[in-house]
Amino acid sequence: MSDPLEHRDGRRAISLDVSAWALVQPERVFSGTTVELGVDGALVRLAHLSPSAYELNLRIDLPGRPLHVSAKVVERGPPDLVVVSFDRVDAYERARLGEFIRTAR
Amino acid sequence: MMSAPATKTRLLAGTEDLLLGIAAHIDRMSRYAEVIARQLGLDADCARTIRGAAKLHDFGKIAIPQRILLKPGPLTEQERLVIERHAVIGHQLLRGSTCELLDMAAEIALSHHERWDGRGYPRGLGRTKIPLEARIAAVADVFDSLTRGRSYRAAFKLQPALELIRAGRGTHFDPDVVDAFLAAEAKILRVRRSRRERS
Repeated sequence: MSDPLEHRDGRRAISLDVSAWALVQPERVFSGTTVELGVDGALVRLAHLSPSAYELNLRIDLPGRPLHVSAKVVERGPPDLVVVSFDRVDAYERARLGEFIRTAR
Repeated sequence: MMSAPATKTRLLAGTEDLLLGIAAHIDRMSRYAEVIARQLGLDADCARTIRGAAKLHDFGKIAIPQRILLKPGPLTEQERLVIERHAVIGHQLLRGSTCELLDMAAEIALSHHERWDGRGYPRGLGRTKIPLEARIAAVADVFDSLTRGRSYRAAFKLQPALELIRAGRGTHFDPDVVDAFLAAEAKILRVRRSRRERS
Protein backbone atom coordinates (compact mmCIF):
# COMPACT_ATOMS: atom_id res chain seq x y z
CA MET A 1 0.00 0.00 0.00
CA SER A 2 1.40 3.41 -0.83
CA ASP A 3 2.17 5.93 1.82
CA PRO A 4 -0.84 8.21 2.33
CA LEU A 5 1.47 11.23 2.34
CA GLU A 6 2.73 10.58 -1.13
CA HIS A 7 1.59 11.91 -4.51
CA ARG A 8 -0.44 14.88 -3.52
CA ASP A 9 -0.66 18.44 -4.70
CA GLY A 10 1.01 17.85 -8.04
CA ARG A 11 4.27 16.68 -6.58
CA ARG A 12 6.47 14.28 -8.51
CA ALA A 13 8.69 11.54 -7.13
CA ILE A 14 12.11 13.20 -7.24
CA SER A 15 15.01 12.49 -4.92
CA LEU A 16 17.35 15.41 -4.23
CA ASP A 17 19.61 16.21 -1.31
CA VAL A 18 18.04 18.68 1.07
CA SER A 19 19.19 20.35 4.26
CA ALA A 20 17.03 22.09 6.82
CA TRP A 21 17.52 24.55 9.64
CA ALA A 22 14.85 25.34 12.21
CA LEU A 23 14.73 28.16 14.71
CA VAL A 24 13.75 25.70 17.47
CA GLN A 25 16.93 23.69 16.83
CA PRO A 26 19.30 26.47 15.80
CA GLU A 27 22.54 24.61 16.49
CA ARG A 28 22.03 21.98 13.79
CA VAL A 29 21.52 21.69 10.08
CA PHE A 30 19.60 18.52 9.20
CA SER A 31 20.37 16.52 6.09
CA GLY A 32 17.83 14.52 4.15
CA THR A 33 16.30 13.92 0.75
CA THR A 34 13.17 14.92 -1.06
CA VAL A 35 10.78 12.06 -1.72
CA GLU A 36 8.48 14.18 -3.83
CA LEU A 37 8.89 17.67 -5.11
CA GLY A 38 6.42 20.26 -6.36
CA VAL A 39 6.49 23.98 -7.01
CA ASP A 40 4.47 24.68 -3.86
CA GLY A 41 5.97 22.15 -1.51
CA ALA A 42 7.65 18.82 -1.00
CA LEU A 43 7.57 15.54 0.84
CA VAL A 44 10.91 15.30 2.57
CA ARG A 45 12.69 12.64 4.61
CA LEU A 46 14.46 14.44 7.48
CA ALA A 47 15.71 12.52 10.48
CA HIS A 48 15.91 13.95 14.00
CA LEU A 49 13.76 16.99 13.29
CA SER A 50 12.05 18.14 16.48
CA PRO A 51 8.28 17.60 16.62
CA SER A 52 8.02 21.30 17.45
CA ALA A 53 9.92 22.35 14.33
CA TYR A 54 7.32 24.14 12.26
CA GLU A 55 9.10 26.82 10.26
CA LEU A 56 12.04 25.54 8.27
CA ASN A 57 14.75 27.08 6.21
CA LEU A 58 15.39 24.61 3.38
CA ARG A 59 18.16 24.22 0.90
CA ILE A 60 17.20 21.90 -1.96
CA ASP A 61 20.10 20.91 -4.17
CA LEU A 62 18.64 21.47 -7.61
CA PRO A 63 21.13 20.77 -10.40
CA GLY A 64 23.35 23.76 -11.10
CA ARG A 65 22.39 25.87 -8.12
CA PRO A 66 20.63 25.17 -4.84
CA LEU A 67 17.19 26.53 -4.11
CA HIS A 68 16.81 28.23 -0.73
CA VAL A 69 13.28 28.55 0.50
CA SER A 70 11.45 29.03 3.77
CA ALA A 71 8.76 26.46 4.38
CA LYS A 72 6.19 25.32 6.93
CA VAL A 73 5.61 21.78 8.09
CA VAL A 74 2.02 20.90 7.25
CA GLU A 75 2.01 17.16 7.87
CA ARG A 76 4.19 14.49 9.41
CA GLY A 77 4.42 10.76 8.98
CA PRO A 78 6.71 7.94 9.98
CA PRO A 79 9.51 7.36 9.40
CA ASP A 80 10.97 10.88 9.40
CA LEU A 81 8.64 12.09 6.65
CA VAL A 82 7.43 15.67 6.62
CA VAL A 83 5.29 17.48 4.12
CA VAL A 84 6.33 21.08 3.75
CA SER A 85 4.62 23.98 2.08
CA PHE A 86 6.93 26.58 0.57
CA ASP A 87 6.28 30.09 1.88
CA ARG A 88 7.26 32.12 -1.10
CA VAL A 89 9.45 31.39 -4.06
CA ASP A 90 10.21 34.33 -6.32
CA ALA A 91 9.02 34.11 -9.91
CA TYR A 92 12.42 33.28 -11.39
CA GLU A 93 13.20 30.52 -8.92
CA ARG A 94 9.67 29.15 -9.20
CA ALA A 95 10.05 28.93 -12.98
CA ARG A 96 13.43 27.20 -12.57
CA LEU A 97 11.94 24.72 -10.09
CA GLY A 98 8.90 24.11 -12.31
CA GLU A 99 11.08 23.47 -15.34
CA PHE A 100 13.25 21.04 -13.41
CA ILE A 101 10.22 19.14 -12.12
CA ARG A 102 8.63 19.04 -15.56
CA THR A 103 11.73 17.61 -17.24
CA ALA A 104 13.00 15.38 -14.43
CA ARG A 105 13.14 11.68 -15.27
CA MET B 1 37.45 32.86 42.96
CA MET B 2 35.59 35.97 41.79
CA SER B 3 32.57 37.15 43.75
CA ALA B 4 29.16 37.06 42.06
CA PRO B 5 29.02 40.85 41.59
CA ALA B 6 32.54 40.85 40.12
CA THR B 7 31.60 38.04 37.73
CA LYS B 8 28.47 39.92 36.73
CA THR B 9 30.43 43.11 36.16
CA ARG B 10 32.95 41.28 34.01
CA LEU B 11 30.20 39.57 31.99
CA LEU B 12 28.43 42.87 31.42
CA ALA B 13 31.70 44.52 30.40
CA GLY B 14 32.39 41.64 28.03
CA THR B 15 28.94 41.90 26.48
CA GLU B 16 29.29 45.66 26.11
CA ASP B 17 32.71 45.23 24.45
CA LEU B 18 31.21 42.67 22.11
CA LEU B 19 28.25 44.83 21.14
CA LEU B 20 30.41 47.92 20.72
CA GLY B 21 32.81 45.90 18.61
CA ILE B 22 30.01 44.73 16.32
CA ALA B 23 28.55 48.24 16.13
CA ALA B 24 31.96 49.68 15.22
CA HIS B 25 32.45 47.00 12.54
CA ILE B 26 29.04 47.76 11.02
CA ASP B 27 29.77 51.50 11.08
CA ARG B 28 33.19 51.17 9.42
CA MET B 29 32.32 48.57 6.80
CA SER B 30 29.23 50.50 5.70
CA ARG B 31 31.29 53.68 5.32
CA TYR B 32 33.89 51.76 3.32
CA ALA B 33 31.07 50.50 1.10
CA GLU B 34 29.91 54.06 0.49
CA VAL B 35 33.44 55.18 -0.43
CA ILE B 36 33.85 52.25 -2.85
CA ALA B 37 30.45 52.93 -4.42
CA ARG B 38 31.37 56.57 -5.04
CA GLN B 39 34.73 55.55 -6.48
CA LEU B 40 32.89 53.22 -8.87
CA GLY B 41 30.97 56.25 -10.13
CA LEU B 42 27.64 55.66 -8.41
CA ASP B 43 25.82 58.84 -7.44
CA ALA B 44 25.77 60.12 -3.88
CA ASP B 45 22.19 59.03 -3.16
CA CYS B 46 22.85 55.52 -4.37
CA ALA B 47 26.09 55.30 -2.39
CA ARG B 48 24.27 56.48 0.74
CA THR B 49 21.61 53.82 0.22
CA ILE B 50 24.33 51.19 -0.12
CA ARG B 51 25.87 52.43 3.11
CA GLY B 52 22.54 52.14 4.92
CA ALA B 53 21.76 48.76 3.44
CA ALA B 54 25.25 47.38 4.12
CA LYS B 55 24.71 47.96 7.83
CA LEU B 56 22.27 45.05 7.79
CA HIS B 57 24.57 42.61 5.98
CA ASP B 58 24.77 40.24 8.95
CA PHE B 59 21.19 40.73 10.14
CA GLY B 60 20.52 36.99 9.86
CA LYS B 61 23.01 36.31 12.63
CA ILE B 62 20.34 37.24 15.16
CA ALA B 63 19.01 33.71 14.64
CA ILE B 64 22.37 31.97 15.07
CA PRO B 65 23.26 30.79 18.58
CA GLN B 66 25.87 32.97 20.31
CA ARG B 67 27.71 29.82 21.35
CA ILE B 68 28.55 29.22 17.71
CA LEU B 69 28.98 32.84 16.60
CA LEU B 70 31.39 33.63 19.40
CA LYS B 71 33.21 30.30 19.55
CA PRO B 72 36.85 31.15 20.15
CA GLY B 73 38.26 28.19 18.22
CA PRO B 74 37.85 26.47 14.88
CA LEU B 75 34.29 25.60 13.86
CA THR B 76 33.08 22.08 13.25
CA GLU B 77 31.56 21.33 9.85
CA GLN B 78 28.09 21.37 11.44
CA GLU B 79 28.73 24.76 13.06
CA ARG B 80 30.01 26.16 9.77
CA LEU B 81 26.81 25.03 8.04
CA VAL B 82 24.73 26.71 10.74
CA ILE B 83 26.64 30.01 10.47
CA GLU B 84 26.38 29.99 6.68
CA ARG B 85 22.61 29.92 7.09
CA HIS B 86 22.69 33.56 8.30
CA ALA B 87 22.79 34.84 4.72
CA VAL B 88 19.50 33.23 3.76
CA ILE B 89 17.87 34.00 7.11
CA GLY B 90 18.81 37.67 6.79
CA HIS B 91 17.34 37.78 3.30
CA GLN B 92 14.13 36.14 4.41
CA LEU B 93 13.76 38.59 7.29
CA LEU B 94 14.49 41.70 5.23
CA ARG B 95 12.86 41.03 1.87
CA GLY B 96 9.42 41.95 0.68
CA SER B 97 9.17 45.50 1.95
CA THR B 98 8.37 48.48 -0.23
CA CYS B 99 11.45 50.27 1.10
CA GLU B 100 14.35 50.56 -1.35
CA LEU B 101 16.93 50.45 1.41
CA LEU B 102 15.50 47.26 2.95
CA ASP B 103 15.20 45.61 -0.46
CA MET B 104 18.85 46.35 -1.09
CA ALA B 105 19.72 45.20 2.43
CA ALA B 106 17.98 41.88 1.71
CA GLU B 107 20.11 41.40 -1.41
CA ILE B 108 23.31 42.29 0.43
CA ALA B 109 22.41 39.97 3.31
CA LEU B 110 21.85 37.13 0.86
CA SER B 111 24.86 37.66 -1.38
CA HIS B 112 27.72 39.22 0.57
CA HIS B 113 29.44 35.83 0.96
CA GLU B 114 29.24 34.97 -2.73
CA ARG B 115 32.55 35.00 -4.55
CA TRP B 116 33.47 36.31 -7.99
CA ASP B 117 34.69 32.81 -8.96
CA GLY B 118 31.38 31.22 -7.96
CA ARG B 119 32.78 29.38 -4.94
CA GLY B 120 30.91 31.36 -2.30
CA TYR B 121 27.62 30.73 -0.55
CA PRO B 122 24.65 30.39 -0.30
CA ARG B 123 23.90 30.15 -4.02
CA GLY B 124 27.31 29.84 -5.60
CA LEU B 125 26.61 32.77 -7.90
CA GLY B 126 29.54 34.15 -9.85
CA ARG B 127 30.66 37.36 -11.47
CA THR B 128 27.91 39.85 -12.33
CA LYS B 129 25.15 37.48 -11.25
CA ILE B 130 26.06 38.72 -7.78
CA PRO B 131 24.35 42.08 -7.21
CA LEU B 132 26.84 44.96 -7.38
CA GLU B 133 25.95 46.22 -3.90
CA ALA B 134 26.80 42.79 -2.48
CA ARG B 135 30.13 42.72 -4.36
CA ILE B 136 30.92 46.09 -2.80
CA ALA B 137 29.83 44.99 0.67
CA ALA B 138 31.99 41.85 0.39
CA VAL B 139 35.20 43.84 -0.02
CA ALA B 140 34.24 46.31 2.70
CA ASP B 141 33.26 43.53 5.10
CA VAL B 142 36.37 41.41 4.57
CA PHE B 143 38.72 44.38 4.83
CA ASP B 144 37.22 45.47 8.13
CA SER B 145 37.06 41.90 9.42
CA LEU B 146 40.76 41.44 8.68
CA THR B 147 41.81 44.66 10.36
CA ARG B 148 39.84 44.19 13.57
CA GLY B 149 40.97 41.84 16.30
CA ARG B 150 38.76 38.85 17.05
CA SER B 151 38.54 36.60 20.06
CA TYR B 152 40.32 33.85 18.09
CA ARG B 153 42.96 35.90 16.25
CA ALA B 154 44.84 39.16 16.30
CA ALA B 155 44.02 41.89 13.82
CA PHE B 156 45.97 41.94 10.56
CA LYS B 157 48.22 44.93 10.12
CA LEU B 158 47.14 47.32 7.40
CA GLN B 159 49.53 46.34 4.60
CA PRO B 160 48.93 42.56 4.87
CA ALA B 161 45.18 43.22 4.91
CA LEU B 162 45.42 45.35 1.77
CA GLU B 163 47.55 42.65 0.15
CA LEU B 164 44.90 40.02 0.93
CA ILE B 165 42.22 42.17 -0.71
CA ARG B 166 44.50 42.67 -3.73
CA ALA B 167 45.19 38.92 -3.85
CA GLY B 168 41.45 38.23 -3.96
CA ARG B 169 41.00 40.34 -7.11
CA GLY B 170 39.22 38.21 -9.73
CA THR B 171 38.85 35.17 -7.46
CA HIS B 172 37.12 36.17 -4.25
CA PHE B 173 36.24 39.71 -5.31
CA ASP B 174 35.01 41.62 -8.34
CA PRO B 175 38.19 43.06 -9.93
CA ASP B 176 36.51 46.43 -10.58
CA VAL B 177 35.44 46.70 -6.95
CA VAL B 178 38.95 45.87 -5.73
CA ASP B 179 40.39 48.46 -8.12
CA ALA B 180 37.96 51.04 -6.77
CA PHE B 181 38.80 50.08 -3.19
CA LEU B 182 42.54 50.43 -3.84
CA ALA B 183 42.09 53.67 -5.77
CA ALA B 184 40.16 55.07 -2.81
CA GLU B 185 42.68 53.74 -0.27
CA ALA B 186 43.43 57.18 1.18
CA LYS B 187 39.71 57.82 1.82
CA ILE B 188 39.25 54.33 3.25
CA LEU B 189 42.14 54.88 5.65
CA ARG B 190 40.74 58.27 6.63
CA VAL B 191 37.44 56.61 7.53
CA ARG B 192 39.29 53.91 9.44
CA ARG B 193 41.33 56.46 11.42
CA SER B 194 38.35 58.65 12.23
CA ARG B 195 36.17 55.75 13.38
CA ARG B 196 38.96 54.29 15.51
CA GLU B 197 39.42 57.64 17.22
CA ARG B 198 35.70 57.78 18.00
CA SER B 199 35.45 54.24 19.34
